[in-house]
Amino acid sequence: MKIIDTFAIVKESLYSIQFDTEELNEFAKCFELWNDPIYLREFFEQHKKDLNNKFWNGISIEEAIKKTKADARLFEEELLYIAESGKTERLETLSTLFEPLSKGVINENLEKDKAKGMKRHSWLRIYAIRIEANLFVVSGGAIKLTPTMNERNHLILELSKLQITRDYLQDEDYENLEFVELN
Amino acid sequence: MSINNIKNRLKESSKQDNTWIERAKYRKENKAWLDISFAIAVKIMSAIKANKAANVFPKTQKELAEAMNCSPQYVNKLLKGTENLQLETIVKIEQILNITLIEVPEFQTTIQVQVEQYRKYIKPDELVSIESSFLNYDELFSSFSYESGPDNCLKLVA
Repeated sequence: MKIIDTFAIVKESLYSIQFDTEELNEFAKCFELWNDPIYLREFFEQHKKDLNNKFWNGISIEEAIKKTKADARLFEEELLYIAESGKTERLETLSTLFEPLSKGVINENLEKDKAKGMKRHSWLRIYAIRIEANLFVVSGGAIKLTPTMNERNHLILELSKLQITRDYLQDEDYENLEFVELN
Repeated sequence: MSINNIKNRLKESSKQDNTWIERAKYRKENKAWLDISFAIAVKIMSAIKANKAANVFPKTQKELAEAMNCSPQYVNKLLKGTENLQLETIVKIEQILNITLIEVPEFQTTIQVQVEQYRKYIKPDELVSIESSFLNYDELFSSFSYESGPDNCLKLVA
Protein backbone atom coordinates (compact mmCIF):
# COMPACT_ATOMS: atom_id res chain seq x y z
CA MET A 1 0.00 0.00 0.00
CA LYS A 2 1.69 3.10 -1.25
CA ILE A 3 0.71 6.72 -1.77
CA ILE A 4 0.84 7.61 -5.45
CA ASP A 5 -0.59 11.13 -5.46
CA THR A 6 -1.93 14.01 -3.44
CA PHE A 7 -5.02 15.89 -4.57
CA ALA A 8 -6.23 19.37 -3.75
CA ILE A 9 -9.88 18.95 -2.81
CA VAL A 10 -10.07 22.65 -1.91
CA LYS A 11 -6.91 24.48 -2.91
CA GLU A 12 -4.69 25.55 -0.04
CA SER A 13 -6.89 24.02 2.65
CA LEU A 14 -8.09 20.45 2.09
CA TYR A 15 -5.92 17.81 0.45
CA SER A 16 -6.22 14.06 0.10
CA ILE A 17 -3.82 11.27 -0.65
CA GLN A 18 -4.46 8.46 -3.11
CA PHE A 19 -3.16 4.92 -2.66
CA ASP A 20 -1.91 2.74 -5.48
CA THR A 21 -4.63 0.20 -4.68
CA GLU A 22 -7.48 2.67 -5.24
CA GLU A 23 -9.08 4.35 -8.23
CA LEU A 24 -10.02 7.48 -6.30
CA ASN A 25 -8.33 9.66 -3.72
CA GLU A 26 -9.37 8.80 -0.16
CA PHE A 27 -11.67 11.79 0.33
CA ALA A 28 -13.60 11.20 -2.91
CA LYS A 29 -13.69 7.46 -2.18
CA CYS A 30 -15.37 7.98 1.21
CA PHE A 31 -18.26 9.95 -0.22
CA GLU A 32 -18.59 7.58 -3.14
CA LEU A 33 -18.93 4.62 -0.76
CA TRP A 34 -21.23 6.42 1.67
CA ASN A 35 -23.60 7.08 -1.23
CA ASP A 36 -23.49 3.51 -2.51
CA PRO A 37 -26.37 1.34 -1.18
CA ILE A 38 -24.67 -1.88 -2.34
CA TYR A 39 -21.49 -1.11 -0.40
CA LEU A 40 -23.43 0.10 2.64
CA ARG A 41 -25.60 -3.01 2.84
CA GLU A 42 -22.57 -5.25 2.60
CA PHE A 43 -20.79 -3.22 5.28
CA PHE A 44 -23.70 -3.20 7.75
CA GLU A 45 -24.41 -6.89 7.21
CA GLN A 46 -20.77 -7.62 7.93
CA HIS A 47 -20.93 -5.43 11.07
CA LYS A 48 -24.44 -6.34 12.16
CA LYS A 49 -23.18 -7.37 15.57
CA ASP A 50 -21.82 -3.86 16.17
CA LEU A 51 -24.99 -2.30 14.83
CA ASN A 52 -26.97 -4.37 17.33
CA ASN A 53 -25.13 -2.69 20.20
CA LYS A 54 -27.66 -0.93 22.43
CA PHE A 55 -25.85 2.37 21.77
CA TRP A 56 -27.35 2.35 18.26
CA ASN A 57 -30.81 1.85 19.66
CA GLY A 58 -31.87 -1.16 17.59
CA ILE A 59 -31.46 0.54 14.21
CA SER A 60 -32.19 -1.72 11.24
CA ILE A 61 -29.81 -2.19 8.31
CA GLU A 62 -32.17 -0.25 6.02
CA GLU A 63 -32.31 2.66 8.44
CA ALA A 64 -28.55 2.55 8.91
CA ILE A 65 -28.03 2.79 5.14
CA LYS A 66 -30.38 5.77 4.85
CA LYS A 67 -28.86 7.49 7.89
CA THR A 68 -25.36 7.10 6.43
CA LYS A 69 -26.34 8.65 3.11
CA ALA A 70 -28.16 11.57 4.73
CA ASP A 71 -25.26 12.23 7.08
CA ALA A 72 -22.72 11.98 4.25
CA ARG A 73 -24.57 14.67 2.32
CA LEU A 74 -24.52 17.08 5.27
CA PHE A 75 -20.90 16.19 6.00
CA GLU A 76 -19.60 16.89 2.50
CA GLU A 77 -21.51 20.17 2.29
CA GLU A 78 -20.10 21.28 5.65
CA LEU A 79 -16.53 20.26 4.81
CA LEU A 80 -16.69 22.11 1.53
CA TYR A 81 -18.17 25.22 3.11
CA ILE A 82 -15.67 25.32 5.99
CA ALA A 83 -12.68 24.62 3.76
CA GLU A 84 -13.65 27.61 1.61
CA SER A 85 -14.60 29.97 4.45
CA GLY A 86 -11.48 29.04 6.40
CA LYS A 87 -9.35 30.81 3.82
CA THR A 88 -10.70 34.18 4.93
CA GLU A 89 -12.41 33.62 8.31
CA ARG A 90 -10.06 33.08 11.20
CA LEU A 91 -12.72 31.56 13.44
CA GLU A 92 -14.27 29.23 10.90
CA THR A 93 -11.47 26.96 9.75
CA LEU A 94 -11.19 23.24 9.20
CA SER A 95 -9.86 23.11 12.77
CA THR A 96 -13.41 23.68 13.98
CA LEU A 97 -14.41 20.39 12.35
CA PHE A 98 -11.32 18.30 13.02
CA GLU A 99 -10.15 17.23 16.46
CA PRO A 100 -7.20 15.19 17.68
CA LEU A 101 -7.62 11.46 17.17
CA SER A 102 -6.74 10.75 20.77
CA LYS A 103 -7.67 12.86 23.74
CA GLY A 104 -4.67 14.51 25.33
CA VAL A 105 -2.49 14.28 22.21
CA ILE A 106 -2.54 17.86 20.98
CA ASN A 107 -0.06 20.28 19.47
CA GLU A 108 1.95 17.39 18.15
CA ASN A 109 3.71 18.16 14.90
CA LEU A 110 1.54 16.80 12.04
CA GLU A 111 -1.22 15.82 14.43
CA LYS A 112 -3.46 12.84 13.58
CA ASP A 113 -7.02 14.16 13.49
CA LYS A 114 -10.58 13.06 12.88
CA ALA A 115 -13.76 14.82 11.80
CA LYS A 116 -17.16 13.42 12.71
CA GLY A 117 -20.31 13.47 10.59
CA MET A 118 -22.99 16.05 11.20
CA LYS A 119 -25.82 14.00 12.63
CA ARG A 120 -26.17 13.30 16.33
CA HIS A 121 -24.25 10.13 17.22
CA SER A 122 -22.71 10.11 13.76
CA TRP A 123 -20.61 7.08 12.89
CA LEU A 124 -18.94 8.74 9.92
CA ARG A 125 -15.29 9.68 10.29
CA ILE A 126 -12.78 11.41 8.04
CA TYR A 127 -9.18 10.97 9.17
CA ALA A 128 -6.53 13.53 8.33
CA ILE A 129 -3.14 14.93 9.21
CA ARG A 130 -3.23 18.53 10.44
CA ILE A 131 -0.57 20.77 8.99
CA GLU A 132 -2.04 24.01 10.27
CA ALA A 133 -5.42 25.49 11.29
CA ASN A 134 -6.91 25.39 7.82
CA LEU A 135 -4.65 22.90 6.09
CA PHE A 136 -5.37 19.19 6.37
CA VAL A 137 -4.42 16.11 4.38
CA VAL A 138 -7.06 13.38 4.37
CA SER A 139 -5.71 9.87 4.81
CA GLY A 140 -9.04 8.02 4.77
CA GLY A 141 -12.42 7.63 6.37
CA ALA A 142 -14.64 5.01 7.92
CA ILE A 143 -17.91 4.04 9.51
CA LYS A 144 -17.03 3.64 13.15
CA LEU A 145 -19.53 1.58 15.13
CA THR A 146 -17.30 0.60 18.06
CA PRO A 147 -16.05 2.81 20.92
CA THR A 148 -12.38 2.46 19.92
CA MET A 149 -10.48 1.96 16.69
CA ASN A 150 -8.43 -0.99 17.87
CA GLU A 151 -11.26 -3.51 17.81
CA ARG A 152 -12.02 -3.73 14.09
CA ASN A 153 -9.76 -4.42 11.12
CA HIS A 154 -11.16 -1.65 8.91
CA LEU A 155 -10.41 0.89 11.65
CA ILE A 156 -6.94 -0.53 12.36
CA LEU A 157 -6.29 -0.05 8.65
CA GLU A 158 -7.27 3.61 9.01
CA LEU A 159 -4.75 4.00 11.84
CA SER A 160 -2.06 2.61 9.54
CA LYS A 161 -3.12 4.92 6.71
CA LEU A 162 -2.81 7.91 9.04
CA GLN A 163 0.73 6.84 9.91
CA ILE A 164 1.65 6.25 6.25
CA THR A 165 0.29 9.70 5.34
CA ARG A 166 2.25 11.30 8.16
CA ASP A 167 5.44 9.56 7.05
CA TYR A 168 4.77 10.59 3.47
CA LEU A 169 4.43 14.25 4.44
CA GLN A 170 7.51 14.20 6.63
CA ASP A 171 9.88 12.38 4.33
CA GLU A 172 11.43 14.14 1.41
CA ASP A 173 12.54 10.85 -0.04
CA TYR A 174 9.23 9.02 0.21
CA GLU A 175 9.93 6.61 -2.65
CA ASN A 176 12.52 4.82 -0.57
CA LEU A 177 10.23 4.07 2.34
CA GLU A 178 9.12 0.51 2.79
CA PHE A 179 5.52 -0.35 3.45
CA VAL A 180 3.85 -3.17 5.21
CA GLU A 181 1.20 -5.00 3.25
CA LEU A 182 -2.09 -4.11 4.90
CA ASN A 183 -4.50 -6.15 2.87
CA MET B 1 10.83 18.41 6.82
CA SER B 2 9.62 21.82 7.99
CA ILE B 3 5.96 22.80 7.86
CA ASN B 4 6.72 25.36 5.17
CA ASN B 5 8.44 22.75 3.04
CA ILE B 6 5.50 20.39 3.46
CA LYS B 7 3.08 23.15 2.49
CA ASN B 8 5.11 24.06 -0.57
CA ARG B 9 5.45 20.47 -1.66
CA LEU B 10 1.71 19.90 -1.26
CA LYS B 11 0.82 23.00 -3.25
CA GLU B 12 3.33 22.34 -5.99
CA SER B 13 2.91 18.63 -6.49
CA SER B 14 -0.81 18.08 -5.83
CA LYS B 15 -3.24 17.56 -8.65
CA GLN B 16 -6.58 19.29 -8.59
CA ASP B 17 -9.36 16.86 -7.63
CA ASN B 18 -12.25 17.07 -10.04
CA THR B 19 -13.86 13.74 -9.23
CA TRP B 20 -15.35 14.61 -5.89
CA ILE B 21 -16.34 18.19 -6.62
CA GLU B 22 -18.18 17.17 -9.78
CA ARG B 23 -19.94 14.27 -8.13
CA ALA B 24 -20.79 16.34 -5.05
CA LYS B 25 -22.30 19.03 -7.26
CA TYR B 26 -24.25 16.40 -9.19
CA ARG B 27 -25.53 14.89 -5.93
CA LYS B 28 -26.60 18.32 -4.71
CA GLU B 29 -28.28 19.43 -7.94
CA ASN B 30 -30.13 16.13 -8.38
CA LYS B 31 -30.80 15.47 -4.72
CA ALA B 32 -34.61 15.28 -5.04
CA TRP B 33 -34.77 12.35 -7.44
CA LEU B 34 -31.50 10.74 -6.33
CA ASP B 35 -32.94 10.38 -2.82
CA ILE B 36 -35.95 8.55 -4.26
CA SER B 37 -33.74 6.39 -6.48
CA PHE B 38 -31.57 5.57 -3.44
CA ALA B 39 -34.59 4.64 -1.30
CA ILE B 40 -35.91 2.41 -4.11
CA ALA B 41 -32.51 0.70 -4.42
CA VAL B 42 -32.42 0.01 -0.68
CA LYS B 43 -35.92 -1.48 -0.78
CA ILE B 44 -35.19 -3.66 -3.81
CA MET B 45 -32.08 -5.04 -2.11
CA SER B 46 -34.07 -5.81 1.03
CA ALA B 47 -36.65 -7.67 -1.08
CA ILE B 48 -33.93 -9.68 -2.87
CA LYS B 49 -32.41 -10.54 0.49
CA ALA B 50 -35.79 -11.63 1.87
CA ASN B 51 -36.33 -13.78 -1.24
CA LYS B 52 -32.93 -15.34 -0.71
CA ALA B 53 -33.82 -16.24 2.86
CA ALA B 54 -37.13 -17.72 1.72
CA ASN B 55 -35.59 -19.30 -1.39
CA VAL B 56 -37.97 -17.45 -3.68
CA PHE B 57 -37.20 -16.26 -7.23
CA PRO B 58 -35.63 -13.74 -7.87
CA LYS B 59 -33.13 -14.06 -5.03
CA THR B 60 -30.02 -12.54 -6.64
CA GLN B 61 -29.21 -9.51 -8.79
CA LYS B 62 -28.64 -11.85 -11.69
CA GLU B 63 -32.06 -13.45 -11.28
CA LEU B 64 -33.67 -10.04 -11.04
CA ALA B 65 -32.01 -9.12 -14.34
CA GLU B 66 -33.48 -12.30 -15.86
CA ALA B 67 -36.94 -11.51 -14.52
CA MET B 68 -36.72 -7.94 -15.82
CA ASN B 69 -35.29 -9.07 -19.13
CA CYS B 70 -32.39 -6.67 -18.85
CA SER B 71 -28.64 -6.87 -18.29
CA PRO B 72 -27.07 -7.51 -14.85
CA GLN B 73 -25.15 -4.25 -15.42
CA TYR B 74 -28.43 -2.35 -15.56
CA VAL B 75 -29.60 -3.99 -12.32
CA ASN B 76 -26.30 -3.06 -10.72
CA LYS B 77 -26.74 0.57 -11.78
CA LEU B 78 -30.28 0.51 -10.48
CA LEU B 79 -29.09 -0.86 -7.13
CA LYS B 80 -26.45 1.87 -6.88
CA GLY B 81 -29.34 4.31 -6.50
CA THR B 82 -28.20 6.50 -9.37
CA GLU B 83 -30.70 5.49 -12.05
CA ASN B 84 -33.44 7.90 -13.10
CA LEU B 85 -36.09 5.18 -13.29
CA GLN B 86 -39.07 5.16 -15.62
CA LEU B 87 -42.51 4.47 -14.15
CA GLU B 88 -42.75 1.40 -16.39
CA THR B 89 -39.56 0.00 -14.85
CA ILE B 90 -40.71 0.75 -11.31
CA VAL B 91 -44.05 -1.01 -11.83
CA LYS B 92 -42.28 -3.99 -13.42
CA ILE B 93 -40.02 -4.33 -10.36
CA GLU B 94 -42.99 -3.96 -8.00
CA GLN B 95 -44.76 -6.83 -9.76
CA ILE B 96 -41.69 -9.07 -9.91
CA LEU B 97 -40.79 -8.60 -6.25
CA ASN B 98 -44.35 -8.16 -5.01
CA ILE B 99 -43.53 -4.94 -3.20
CA THR B 100 -44.66 -1.32 -3.34
CA LEU B 101 -41.98 1.17 -4.29
CA ILE B 102 -43.92 4.37 -4.92
CA GLU B 103 -47.36 5.64 -4.09
CA VAL B 104 -49.26 8.64 -5.35
CA PRO B 105 -51.27 10.41 -2.65
CA GLU B 106 -55.07 10.58 -3.05
CA PHE B 107 -56.13 13.48 -5.25
CA GLN B 108 -57.15 16.48 -3.21
CA THR B 109 -58.21 19.97 -4.12
CA THR B 110 -57.43 22.60 -1.59
CA ILE B 111 -58.90 26.03 -1.98
CA GLN B 112 -57.38 28.53 0.31
CA VAL B 113 -58.61 32.08 0.44
CA GLN B 114 -56.21 34.47 2.05
CA VAL B 115 -57.44 37.82 3.22
CA GLU B 116 -54.27 39.82 3.51
CA GLN B 117 -55.44 43.34 3.70
CA TYR B 118 -58.72 45.11 3.49
CA ARG B 119 -59.79 48.48 4.64
CA LYS B 120 -63.50 48.59 4.34
CA TYR B 121 -65.91 46.35 2.50
CA ILE B 122 -69.18 47.87 1.52
CA LYS B 123 -72.23 45.96 0.42
CA PRO B 124 -75.22 47.98 -0.63
CA ASP B 125 -77.54 46.88 2.15
CA GLU B 126 -75.60 45.02 4.82
CA LEU B 127 -72.20 44.28 6.28
CA VAL B 128 -70.90 40.98 4.99
CA SER B 129 -68.80 38.79 7.21
CA ILE B 130 -65.75 37.43 5.41
CA GLU B 131 -66.29 34.04 7.03
CA SER B 132 -69.89 33.89 5.80
CA SER B 133 -69.31 31.53 2.90
CA PHE B 134 -66.47 30.51 0.67
CA LEU B 135 -68.47 27.96 -1.21
CA ASN B 136 -69.69 30.29 -3.88
CA TYR B 137 -66.86 32.74 -3.95
CA ASP B 138 -67.70 34.22 -7.39
CA GLU B 139 -70.99 35.40 -6.00
CA LEU B 140 -69.36 36.59 -2.82
CA PHE B 141 -66.72 38.57 -4.66
CA SER B 142 -69.16 40.20 -7.05
CA SER B 143 -71.20 41.49 -4.16
CA PHE B 144 -68.29 43.53 -2.84
CA SER B 145 -66.94 46.83 -3.91
CA TYR B 146 -63.71 48.15 -2.50
CA GLU B 147 -63.60 51.64 -1.14
CA SER B 148 -59.88 51.77 -1.78
CA GLY B 149 -59.15 48.20 -2.55
CA PRO B 150 -56.22 46.97 -4.57
CA ASP B 151 -56.81 44.01 -6.86
CA ASN B 152 -54.75 41.70 -4.72
CA CYS B 153 -56.83 41.97 -1.57
CA LEU B 154 -58.04 38.42 -1.96
CA LYS B 155 -55.78 35.72 -3.31
CA LEU B 156 -56.98 32.40 -4.48
CA VAL B 157 -54.49 29.62 -4.16
CA ALA B 158 -55.65 26.33 -5.58
